[in-house]
Amino acid sequence: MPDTHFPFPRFILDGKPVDIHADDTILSAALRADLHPTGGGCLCCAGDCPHCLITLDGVSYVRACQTPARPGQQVERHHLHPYPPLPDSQLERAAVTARHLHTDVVVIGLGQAGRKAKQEAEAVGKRVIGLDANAQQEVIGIYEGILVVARTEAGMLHIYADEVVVATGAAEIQPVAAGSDLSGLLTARAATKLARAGIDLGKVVSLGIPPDDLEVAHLEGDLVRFEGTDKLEAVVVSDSSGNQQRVPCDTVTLGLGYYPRDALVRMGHGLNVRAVGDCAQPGDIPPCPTSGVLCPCSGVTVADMEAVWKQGFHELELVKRATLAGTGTCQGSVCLPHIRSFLQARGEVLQAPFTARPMTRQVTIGEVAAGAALQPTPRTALDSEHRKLGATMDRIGGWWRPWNYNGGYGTTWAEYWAVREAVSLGDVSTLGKLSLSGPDALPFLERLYPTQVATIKNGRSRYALLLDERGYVVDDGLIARENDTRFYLTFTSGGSSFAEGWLRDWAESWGLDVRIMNRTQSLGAINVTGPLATHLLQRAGLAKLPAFMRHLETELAGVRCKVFRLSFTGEVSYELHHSVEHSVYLWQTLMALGTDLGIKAHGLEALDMLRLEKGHIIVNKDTDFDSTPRRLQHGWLVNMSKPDFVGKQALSRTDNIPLNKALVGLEVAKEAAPQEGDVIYHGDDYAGYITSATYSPVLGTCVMLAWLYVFAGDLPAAVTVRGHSARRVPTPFYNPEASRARA
Amino acid sequence: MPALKPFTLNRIVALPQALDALPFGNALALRVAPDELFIDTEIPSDSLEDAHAIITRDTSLHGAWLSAGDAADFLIRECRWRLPETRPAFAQGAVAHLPVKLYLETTRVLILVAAVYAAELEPHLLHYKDAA
Repeated sequence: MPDTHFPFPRFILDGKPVDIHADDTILSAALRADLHPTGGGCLCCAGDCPHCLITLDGVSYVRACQTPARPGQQVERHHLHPYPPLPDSQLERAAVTARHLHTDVVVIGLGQAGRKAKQEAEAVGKRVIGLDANAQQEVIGIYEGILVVARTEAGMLHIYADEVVVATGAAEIQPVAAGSDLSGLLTARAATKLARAGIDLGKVVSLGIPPDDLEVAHLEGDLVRFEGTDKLEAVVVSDSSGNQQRVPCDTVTLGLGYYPRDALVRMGHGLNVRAVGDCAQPGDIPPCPTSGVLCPCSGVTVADMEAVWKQGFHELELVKRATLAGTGTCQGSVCLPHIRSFLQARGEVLQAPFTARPMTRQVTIGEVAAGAALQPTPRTALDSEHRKLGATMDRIGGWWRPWNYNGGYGTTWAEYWAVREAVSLGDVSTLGKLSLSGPDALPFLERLYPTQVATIKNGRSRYALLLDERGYVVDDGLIARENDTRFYLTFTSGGSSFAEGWLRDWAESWGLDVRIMNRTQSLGAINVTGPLATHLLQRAGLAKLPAFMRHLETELAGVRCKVFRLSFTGEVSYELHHSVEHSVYLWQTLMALGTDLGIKAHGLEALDMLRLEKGHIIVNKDTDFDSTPRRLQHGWLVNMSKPDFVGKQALSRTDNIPLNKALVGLEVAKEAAPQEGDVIYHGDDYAGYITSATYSPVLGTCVMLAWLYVFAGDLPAAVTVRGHSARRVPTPFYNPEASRARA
Repeated sequence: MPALKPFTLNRIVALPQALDALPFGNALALRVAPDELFIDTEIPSDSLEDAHAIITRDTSLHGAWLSAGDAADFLIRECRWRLPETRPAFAQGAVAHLPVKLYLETTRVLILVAAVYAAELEPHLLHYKDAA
């Protein structure tokens, strides 16, 4: 039963209900209620001008003339200046989706010229997507590729095309004269549309081309000005003799000519983008404006233009930047023909229109972000185990990793002491892991690494640095030899992609016969470390134990593992490399077996302290872009007697240059509490900075790795850190004879 | 939501010509690189004309089958690059900003992702059904 009190559906405008008639846009409904959206300015009803901008459901800069009126809409009006207020930041909005389409041709604008272009393309068998603003498919940008981005009611469209045809037609030229910011001004087409929508336009007069299907009093002569207070009351025209005539009216329709909607064409300059129809025409240039608002979006008047002209801004691009004319919502649709006319009248040259760049319209951040996502971060198979243990997880080295387990153990020191005095598990699945095989595997590695590889026997491993052609350290890890033609290489976490590319590039450029398989994501790895590590693994069934820096393949708790004996923490350590589907079982089994041994997991916070006590470097934390092995005091890893290796030529030169800085170990009292990045002083002189620092409970002091400059040919023995005296000491700080790691 | 399950495949890195010569038959064979293949059948090492090939059993890929319709709906949102038109077809690239492998059949599509990214892909598949 219709509601006789409210026969029409309604939306809310400035807190008051407004009736919606059939096929109403928000503009036509508002005008029927005698409410001009921005308070004044010529309306085009075609999406070209800024005079119907509203805020709709919290989103500003919405064109009322292009938006269907629907019940329940919350509409707010604002004057063009100042800008509308920012939306309520508490508003929740659904994410905007993006759909990605591929086609041969996109036709933008499906009027007569656009429909013809679409048919012609389809006739030769091309796949064509047509878009039209009247169907709420608004193209906001054309990008290199070609990528056409459009906004629709269903979200964003990202269309990849080989060719774009722009058939967006021409806009009606709007008036620039005193009083052109009054309400009651309509373009000829707008008048026709609004009359058909049943809007009462009152007494209507027309200037220029009269509107279709509308009885109007036509005025001859040139426009002088509009008169009224907020609303139009009269229009003044002059004849060729300069005689002025004042004509009272409620509405004036203006048919002042047409200007191509060619922003998308200009945007597609250099791409396979072409214009057809009215937007391919040069367009009419109106008479030079003498007064009034020239750019309604930016509030630029003719007087402003005269001022910048006098200052010497004569080029269109410079005038745009000096005044902001053409940079607003309509992107020059209204003002560009008038600016060109103004400059031509003074400079005698009709300058080309300014460059157009995406986007043609304001878009919301949600629309810009449609289809975007945060950088994905991989997780190891043990991710859920860490979280169950109360780990604080963080993105480190490109992976989700446990920083500490304070949520479970209460303090990082619990993890630290488990490593130093009992047994602990660490998830090192993130290590880069590559298998290398081939008849040229050995010569390949000899040329790749600065260390001697031929002397690594089957079943043994060696720590090695990876250098670039300049002799700078880019990674480190293990070289493990399985047999005469097969090796297993490890790299830093986050370094496997670089390492794989590096190895493949060199193998190809040297023409060496090798196979390279990146197993970083295929293999899990668990570090078992602490004085009771061997005991724990024996409980898990490890019958044969590899000696220090050796490895073997065996079964542990029923899981096939490559077991490495090495040490990053300074205690007895094993790394168990295994197929990733067994990670959780292996971890849980070891944790269960070690319950009475005081087993705990350790995270990166504890690991950083432990390795630092041993003086182990971390590439990209302790190393810089120009860190040579000599500067790192790791020259023992370089064998310059090898015929060649990557970086050798550079090192043979730089090794003869006096050392200017080195990575050193420093010790300072606990009270200093040094931190990574702290500056080091030698007297009053800047002497370097700290790369890693920790308090060492076993040593009762703070230990650091730091870059230290050479003074008078030597590295200073004492420096100042945070106002405290620090002394240079050899590394490792803890158990330098490595008796605990080799036990 | 289709559960992303581990796919146990044999992974081979070998000379390209050796992989070219392998008889795939009806096996699910994903040639991810000229020198690398994932395949769901056993490959006897003596059938591979490369004595230095690296052959491993690999469980690092997790995947799910979607119906062709669901896959089209998913990929139009999440895949910016052009998919092959022939069927069956193998394609790989960024989907939902993740490194994904696709095996496209006429009526269904297999979506494979490294297990390390499975948790990132799952939310994108919430609205679809298993078409295995």
